[in-house]
Amino acid sequence: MARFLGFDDRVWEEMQRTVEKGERYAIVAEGERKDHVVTYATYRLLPGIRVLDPVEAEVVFYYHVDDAPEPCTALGERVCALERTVEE
Amino acid sequence: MSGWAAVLAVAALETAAGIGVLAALGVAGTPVEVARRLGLAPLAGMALAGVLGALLAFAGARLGLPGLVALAAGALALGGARLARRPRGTSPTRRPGRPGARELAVLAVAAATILAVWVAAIAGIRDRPLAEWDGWAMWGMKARALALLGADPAVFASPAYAHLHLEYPLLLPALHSLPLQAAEGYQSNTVLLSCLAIGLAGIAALWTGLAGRVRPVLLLPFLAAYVAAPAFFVQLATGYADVPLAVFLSVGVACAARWLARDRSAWLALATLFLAAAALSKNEGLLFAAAAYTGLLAAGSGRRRAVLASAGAVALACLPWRVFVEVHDLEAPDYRLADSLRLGWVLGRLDRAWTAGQELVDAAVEPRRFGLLLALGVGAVAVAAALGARRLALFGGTFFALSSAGLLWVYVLTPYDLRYYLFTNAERVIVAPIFALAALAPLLVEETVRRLRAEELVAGRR
Repeated sequence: MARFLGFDDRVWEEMQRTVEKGERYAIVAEGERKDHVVTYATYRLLPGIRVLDPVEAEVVFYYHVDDAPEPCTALGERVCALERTVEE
Repeated sequence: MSGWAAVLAVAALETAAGIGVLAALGVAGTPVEVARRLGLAPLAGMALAGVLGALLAFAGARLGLPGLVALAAGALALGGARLARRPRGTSPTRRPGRPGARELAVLAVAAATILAVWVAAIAGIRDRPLAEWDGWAMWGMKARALALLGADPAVFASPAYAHLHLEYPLLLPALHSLPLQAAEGYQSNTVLLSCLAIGLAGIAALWTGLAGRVRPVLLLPFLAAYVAAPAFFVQLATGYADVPLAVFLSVGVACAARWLARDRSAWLALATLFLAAAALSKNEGLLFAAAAYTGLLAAGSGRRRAVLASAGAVALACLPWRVFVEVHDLEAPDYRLADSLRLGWVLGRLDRAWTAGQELVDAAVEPRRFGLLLALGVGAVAVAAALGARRLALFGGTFFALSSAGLLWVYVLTPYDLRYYLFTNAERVIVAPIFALAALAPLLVEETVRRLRAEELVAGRR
């Protein structure tokens, strides 16, 4: 599916490995295909749970975003993950 | 376990549950009848498991594999108890006469057509992944989420997933999630195989449900036309909900029509289960079920209390999901029924119904999508209305007219650009009413022939 959408499947495998079952993630995407990226994430990154607000997320993915905050672990070209501690 | 094995294992458990349903409802009153009506069991079990799965989703739970095993055991126990209470002996059956050479040729061609289409469908879906947008983004995502997380409100009531039509009921994702739980790893093909199982179970159910009332030489060619309509397996292979909805609706209206044609009340009870499954498959399902019940009320004079009880049961099955939608404030972006009351606004948009009607008719008569189905269905209603089986014709005609009118009303109400909205869904939303009308056709024709013959006999005696 990732290849069908023109995405790099290895990047999505890395993203999937980053999110544990039930863990909350947010995705910040930019570019023409950001809606596709977000929709594909809701499907592919299960059993991770998407939240809208990065503040509520344990992992925030930056997808084709310039100036992603540090320390964001690179998962592929212009894709990185920022792991966070969420205060309950 | 592979996706194939998981789908087969789940279908076997659902068939066991379905056998229990048939016996418990009285559709099969003896072990011989259970064997004779076995073709109805897989879809009855799927409907039961699906309705229960959708109801559990309301409570944030899911019907897992242990739940399905318990459901099958419970249904079998209930059905077995009912069979045991019945007096021994078999119900009388009409033995069909030996078919002549011409009948055998018709049967052979129809059976070969059905077999060829099935083989082609299985070959086409065998390794196919979910590729169409709504197939993976909406139906696949929900099935996978149910399998992995249960009906967690963090997904099913979250604004982060709001673009995936969270207001749709969860019967189909609940059904697809069962083989996903049994399979090793996730393969999107499993969802398509689950759709295929529903399609095949539907054909078996239509055959078995009508076989006692319609001669095989008439029924099998109709079923061949139903199966060979390209929309059936082509749309089934997308993973969308339209064909599964069409299957539950078709068998539901066929069972209801059988009851209307003076058969046992057990057929109305079975119709209730299938119409509840249709209503919980997709939002339009509720519209089509309401259209079917309006048709039954119109045609079922003297038996309307039973129709109301059946409609009430379907409404009860749908109620928890409607509560869930209201409690979580899940928006239905396609249309708001309440907008019907804004008279000035609605009057200014009525021209949309004409445009939508033209588009729907164009899609419905497209032979590369529906073959001859619409002509067969409408023709059967017209012939029955003119020549004899008027109650059945009234039922079929009312059902189809109201279903079509309801769809047109949605196009009047939708806030989307009409051309865009028609482009995205016109050829899909008409699938269920067209297939359901076509499912009624063989019974309409058979009942008309029966009445004409009876009239001839009476005239001959005079």
